[in-house]
Amino acid sequence: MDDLPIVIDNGSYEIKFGVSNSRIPFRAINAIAKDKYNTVYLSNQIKGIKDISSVNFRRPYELGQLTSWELESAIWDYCFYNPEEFDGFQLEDTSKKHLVISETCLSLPEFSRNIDHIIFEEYNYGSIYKSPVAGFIPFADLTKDVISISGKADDDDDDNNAKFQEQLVTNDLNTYISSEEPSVTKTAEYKDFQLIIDSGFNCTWIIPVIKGIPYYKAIKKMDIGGRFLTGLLKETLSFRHYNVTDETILVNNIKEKCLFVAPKSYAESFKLKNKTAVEYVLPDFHTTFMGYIKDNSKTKLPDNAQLITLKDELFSVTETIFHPEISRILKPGIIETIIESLSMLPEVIRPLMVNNIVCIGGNFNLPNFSKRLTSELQRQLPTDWTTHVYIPKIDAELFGWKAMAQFSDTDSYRKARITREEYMEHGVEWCTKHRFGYQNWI
Amino acid sequence: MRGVEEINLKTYDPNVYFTSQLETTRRVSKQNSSNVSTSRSIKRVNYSLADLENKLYQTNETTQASTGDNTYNKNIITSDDPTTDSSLYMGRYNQNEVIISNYRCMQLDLENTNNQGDLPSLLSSITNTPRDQIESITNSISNNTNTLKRNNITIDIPKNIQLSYKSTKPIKPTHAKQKRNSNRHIALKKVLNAKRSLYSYVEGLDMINKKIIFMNTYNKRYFKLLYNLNICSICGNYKNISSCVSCGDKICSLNCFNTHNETRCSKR
Repeated sequence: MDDLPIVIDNGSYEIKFGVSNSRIPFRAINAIAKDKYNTVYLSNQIKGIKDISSVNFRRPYELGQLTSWELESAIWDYCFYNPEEFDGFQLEDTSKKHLVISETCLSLPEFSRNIDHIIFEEYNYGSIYKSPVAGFIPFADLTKDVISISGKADDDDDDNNAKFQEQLVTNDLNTYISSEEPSVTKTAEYKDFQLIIDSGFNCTWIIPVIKGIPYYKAIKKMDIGGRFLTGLLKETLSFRHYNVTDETILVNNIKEKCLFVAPKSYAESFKLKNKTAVEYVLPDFHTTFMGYIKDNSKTKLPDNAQLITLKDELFSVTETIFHPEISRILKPGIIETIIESLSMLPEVIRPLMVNNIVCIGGNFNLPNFSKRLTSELQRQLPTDWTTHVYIPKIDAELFGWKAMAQFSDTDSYRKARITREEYMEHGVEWCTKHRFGYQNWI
Repeated sequence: MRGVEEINLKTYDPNVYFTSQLETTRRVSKQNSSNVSTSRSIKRVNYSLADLENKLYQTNETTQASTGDNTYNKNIITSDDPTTDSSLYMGRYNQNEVIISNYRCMQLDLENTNNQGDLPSLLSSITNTPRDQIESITNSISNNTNTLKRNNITIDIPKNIQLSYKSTKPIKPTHAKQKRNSNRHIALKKVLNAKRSLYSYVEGLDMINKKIIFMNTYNKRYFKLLYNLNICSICGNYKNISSCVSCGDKICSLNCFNTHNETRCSKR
């Protein structure tokens, strides 16, 4: 029964899964899609779609809540019983397997119950541990592949462009537990106080985690996530260039390739907008299906290539994270949301939380996002508090999974998981009410 | 450098000016001014962020209430009704503006632009505003919602989806076992085949959980810490911003204003 656990970070955009000792997880798009010829594509098959115009998506998640198990189980089957796609990974006898899984923070109790129900009865796992992703982050190793940014670093030289002292934290061999040889005797090493900013596909969560447990009273949510940014970019492009309202895949690609956050302020970037402008070659379905960024040094484009020049769109779309009012949304921005969350915390630990911010989620792949966040936040806080942000160097969306994998190697995990016998004895209701659900802590 | 200066106790009144010699201050105040209440000299200033914010809101509320121009908002203040989401933004925006903003936010948040039909019901179940109200407000902005509703695209999962890849899923042999736990089995099938959409689940949720999940997670009060950034809705410029007289969109120049009038102005 002491196999390595399977770890699944069940995100609303992508499922990240794999055995806990692998370095990076497998990834599968958590959706089903239909193109304009009514062909249906499941999960990663979507990546192979040639004619990307007018593709419609359906996801098991609605507003971050896992509603459709009909669809989710089809996608899980695709993930777990598909060794061709996922490098030989497949489940065989699940009854002896342990599972570590993430769920949406504050998911409806009914959906929470459904997850346990299906994991034990449809997939027959031997044990399960489930928590919002933020609950795993304190166990993450912040000494490897993580950049730390301090909000105070810019005080010394204001005009210097190298504003932030970016320091790569070197590998500390003493604290780093090698994933190849899981040490069973090692006791849990986790950070007591952390403020997690999880900016994902659906929304952005501000989650203070105290002693490994989300502090539910102070959890705040901002409705701006990756999907919103894609939608807004769609609207902007449709207004200024071509109608792209049906081109979700194309616009998402433009977003991932070109967009950035204004490093200092909107005004500053606006002055430089001609320098940072990007020419994007739209797909013509002969030479390119996805389009690409025009590279001036390369050979010339095909004759009838359609170009769009992106200038202030590049940072005005992402600026809505800080200033939602520019897209006519009357909601508080990310800084206000963080401050509100801080104000719900006990007074003593507020500076401590600010000093231990960890940013995870795909939106932090946007260049400059974390730096801008640090400096804006620092400005709003008392001068003797120091903002300190940890951010994964690459692939911010995978950091949650890595933290989960590291957690699965601790004794805390072995104590906290629920075995099949316990589940059979107490039932689904008990799992949610007394073990995994938020009701347990409120 | 100009900063905080210590005062000389002999020349300045320690009840008015600050000194770090708190002990002596107290003594002095007791000796010198017996008729002045001691509580005043050692009055403590509350620097708690939460309290300061609270105080700020309360004064805002009272001024808002005293002007009395918006009876609806006043009702919300006095009743402190947690069910109305609009109380979040009280004093700054009226309920219509908030609904429009929420609706717009959800509209932009769609992956498939055609699937707008469910939005009003979902929004009404989450924010507890009557559905008719949302629909009447949003219909006035976009007249084409009715046509869009018909185009709702639903994607059904094909029965033979497992054949689209080389599935190695074992066929379940445990027929006899399933029969024994038939109740559990039925419940499982029910979960696996559920086709309800989110809003029907939210409707069925009790008030406490609904409040925890959908209301407490948003900011309780609308406050702005960053400056209010206005950019031109046409070209994105941040200078010389003025608003369109009829619809309130931000415009920076005559050129942009003309473009705006030809295309975007909703109340033309």
